[in-house]
Amino acid sequence: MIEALVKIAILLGGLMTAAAYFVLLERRMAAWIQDRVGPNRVGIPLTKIRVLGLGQPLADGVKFITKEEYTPAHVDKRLYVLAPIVILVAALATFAVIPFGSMIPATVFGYRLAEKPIELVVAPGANVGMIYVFALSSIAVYGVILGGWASNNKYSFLGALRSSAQLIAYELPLGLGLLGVVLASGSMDLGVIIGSQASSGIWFAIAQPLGFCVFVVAAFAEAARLPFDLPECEQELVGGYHTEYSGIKLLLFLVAEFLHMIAASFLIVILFLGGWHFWGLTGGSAEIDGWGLAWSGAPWLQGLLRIVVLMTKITLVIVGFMIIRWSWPRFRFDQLMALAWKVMLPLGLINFVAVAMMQQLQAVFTGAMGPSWLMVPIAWGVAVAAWLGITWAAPMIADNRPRRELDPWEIDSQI
Amino acid sequence: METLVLPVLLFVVCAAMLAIGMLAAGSLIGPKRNTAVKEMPYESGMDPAHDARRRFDVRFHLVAIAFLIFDVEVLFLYPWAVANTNPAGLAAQVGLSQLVVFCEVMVFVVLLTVGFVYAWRKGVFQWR
Amino acid sequence: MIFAAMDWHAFFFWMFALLTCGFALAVLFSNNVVHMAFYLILSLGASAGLFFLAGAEFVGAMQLMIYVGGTLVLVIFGVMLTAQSRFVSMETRSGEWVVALGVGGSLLFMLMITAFNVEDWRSPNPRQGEVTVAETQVVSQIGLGFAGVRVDKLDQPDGQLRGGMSGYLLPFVIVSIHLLVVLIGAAYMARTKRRKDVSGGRS
Repeated sequence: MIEALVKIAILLGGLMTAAAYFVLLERRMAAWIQDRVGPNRVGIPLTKIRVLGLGQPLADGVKFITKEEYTPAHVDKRLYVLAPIVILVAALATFAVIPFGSMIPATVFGYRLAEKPIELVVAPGANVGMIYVFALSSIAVYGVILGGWASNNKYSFLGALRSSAQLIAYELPLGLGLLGVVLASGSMDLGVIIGSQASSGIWFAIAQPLGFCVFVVAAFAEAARLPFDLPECEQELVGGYHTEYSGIKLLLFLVAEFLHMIAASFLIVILFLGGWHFWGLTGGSAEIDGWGLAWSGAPWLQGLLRIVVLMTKITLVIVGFMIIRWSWPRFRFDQLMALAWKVMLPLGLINFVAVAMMQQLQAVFTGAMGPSWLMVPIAWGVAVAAWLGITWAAPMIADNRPRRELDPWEIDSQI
Repeated sequence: METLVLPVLLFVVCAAMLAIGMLAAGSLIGPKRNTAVKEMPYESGMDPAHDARRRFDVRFHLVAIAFLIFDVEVLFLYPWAVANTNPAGLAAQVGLSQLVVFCEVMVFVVLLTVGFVYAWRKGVFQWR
Repeated sequence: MIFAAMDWHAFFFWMFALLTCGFALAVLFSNNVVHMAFYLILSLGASAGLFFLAGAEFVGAMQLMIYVGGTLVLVIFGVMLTAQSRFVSMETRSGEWVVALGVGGSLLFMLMITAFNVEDWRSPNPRQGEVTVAETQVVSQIGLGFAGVRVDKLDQPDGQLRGGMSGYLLPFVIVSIHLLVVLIGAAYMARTKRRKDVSGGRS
């Protein structure tokens, strides 16, 4: 109980701070890519010291809180207030089953913290952890739909419609990408999934490249990051589903968006990039054995090193998210839907069938089910073949010119 | 059970309290100035023409139906995926051929694919 | 410790049960269609909590994914599709109340009778100490069920009986055929009204 509360406090505080500082990082990166300087003025308050603009998130937060908390008259009051709460809680609740490290020893300087080594996850041993994450990501749709509908604004309504269609369409490739991982590791507990990658040393991104691609694309779409940011494309829909929101409610939406991105990077790292594992550095067993050293501080060092490895990977993935955001144009809505249904869904199915078949083959020849280096070249071959096949079956729609000779029912569908 | 329900519920409650607390702080601290223009829906400076909640394309509904069906199909595959590789799953059952079960699941996937191809040919995934 | 003294299981059961019923009533007494749909989401979500509490974590997650995350999106789309401003607020006439109460009440009566026919459910504490919730690998067991193993008969020495002759192998395949039919039906119905000749062969 106390242990869970401490973990929750650490996680909530860490996530909110991380979201704030990733906003700053994003702005600095945007500036770097566009050859500007970016926010570098705000430093320590009441002094003239600027530390690379590190005070900016604090200033942003204060400004958001002191802005007017306004509810326009034309909205549906109850749902209008509920929508940001729903979306933030759903985004945060995902992290209840996501490990933020491996584990730490139960004793510190001879003082006993707990009976067993502390697992760094709020709900340890949740054997449906992944389905729970998956289910919460489908609940996040409601924050968007309700916010857009309650706002009673055309931009919001269109944004909400697009957004909900996008979120549900990309949930299928997300699930199919996960399915390959579940099949390979035989569990839906995220900790066990990391453990199976660590013990074999084969990250699932290496063993299932196709599943990795499908999952990453779907995760981008679920987080509504730039190539897929149709829900709130500023140039077309002002703010999309949060056009009518202001002040702290807008902040909740924006924070939830960043949390989605952070959750997506956590999942990418944990499911496909080995979680806290790194070859020759962190040790392969799920328990922290201190590399078998006699020194009593070794388990602590190992536990902390695993946290550092995990956080480094996650930061790198997030930086990747940001670089992609500032270097890719946005999809058009029909392209988005075509990508989801005609490219990602078949690729996900092919990945699932390929993984299942390779496992059966391996079981027939070697008698073991776990991942092995033998299957890696075959998996990459399958990935390339599937990619070529899908480019033939669903060719890219490259013609971006607006079409003039539309039928009435077609114009109606140009939402 | 308690290991899952209790921490998760605590987490959800804490997150909700955080969200509500932030909203409350915002409404306590922020100024209150109401004007007629603020009450209007934002339409880039134009006066709003008609009701915002228009009818929309039925294709959104179709996407939702297709999602629901595929979602159920994918969810049916999860228990098999867990049981197939888990040492306590199919491998522990004597007298049960994993190959037969594998073929059964492949039949399931093939039927899924047939439906998918039909829907594709029928133009369900065609947005224009 | 005050937390240890409380019966968490009972507390959560009552909380989720009350939430489920309360939001179900809110669906009834709300006039706004979209509010109704939203209360239905909350009601179904709370019943997912009951599944989690009973140790059926996979079924609970399924409830969240399929009903809350799938079916209700469909319902909300349907509601938003039709909810022009004059349809948003709906008054229920007294005659409709009577019919609805009759139908709903008889269904409830039937369910109650069926439920009380189950021996174990009659008294609140069936076989004290023998209640085994939270099997460690529910998901795996469901998978075994699909594969033709009766997990409730695992202590049978005979392999044939343990397999329950066929287990749920056949239903599993029937489900897939059923889903195929649903998909084909949906695609067919949604697409037949397209007039191909209007666009000059381009569709």
